[in-house]
Amino acid sequence: MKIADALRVIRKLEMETREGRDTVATFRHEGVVLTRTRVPHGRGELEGRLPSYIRQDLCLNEDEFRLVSNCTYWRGEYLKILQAKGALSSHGRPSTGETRT
Amino acid sequence: MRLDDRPLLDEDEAGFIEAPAEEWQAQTGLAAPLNAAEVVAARVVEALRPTRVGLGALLVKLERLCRAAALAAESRNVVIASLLSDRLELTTPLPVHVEWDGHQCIASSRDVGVFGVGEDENTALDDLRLALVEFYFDLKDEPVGDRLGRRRTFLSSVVREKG
Repeated sequence: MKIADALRVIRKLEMETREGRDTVATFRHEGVVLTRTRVPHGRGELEGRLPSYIRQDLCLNEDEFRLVSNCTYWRGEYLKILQAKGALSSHGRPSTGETRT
Repeated sequence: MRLDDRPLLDEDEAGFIEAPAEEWQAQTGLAAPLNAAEVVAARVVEALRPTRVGLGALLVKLERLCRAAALAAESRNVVIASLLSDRLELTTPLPVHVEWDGHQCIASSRDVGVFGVGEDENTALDDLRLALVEFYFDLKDEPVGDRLGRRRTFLSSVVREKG
């Protein structure tokens, strides 16, 4: 996977980005941060297992990541995936992430 | 082609081959070869020396292969005791997984879901430390979902802000 492809996925998912040592991308829904990843600066390939780490940050399996890369899945589909995987609260709305007692 | 017809090593190339391990890094810009990998590389170089072929590029590739092989066998779990930050410190040693994937070394905290990358273990661990500090302060005051929230809660339980 090329760095440009990873950045394209970030744009397609309408993630917020911040440039620092790397590009830090944050997926926010209704004001709540659901996923976050970082992509190295530069051009060329994301080598080795780096694409796998980014994919896991985004809470996607390989098939889902491919569908996002191939423009089959967009932000709406991604949100459903996150909901199905429990990245949102069990009530369907994002929680504050605090530990329940 | 007869051996005698092959080009001789030039002065730089000969120096490159004969450099001891501690000079390897200075001459090549690469990390010094590792233990068994170094021995294998040295034997291959010794075997090739009589052929008097150009070996510079070959040696660089060989060093990378040997380093990858050595580190691949050493993917392991370690702990870090410090974030080396003036803003945040660990209160408990943090388990970290370190692996070499053939291109770079990746250090990751599976509990927090943060990774660092570098050309060797030390630079990967330093990158991970910076990433952990960024993660903490980026999300400290943010509303987060359950998944990120669990990770933030864990990280918050093992760090303390300085000052």
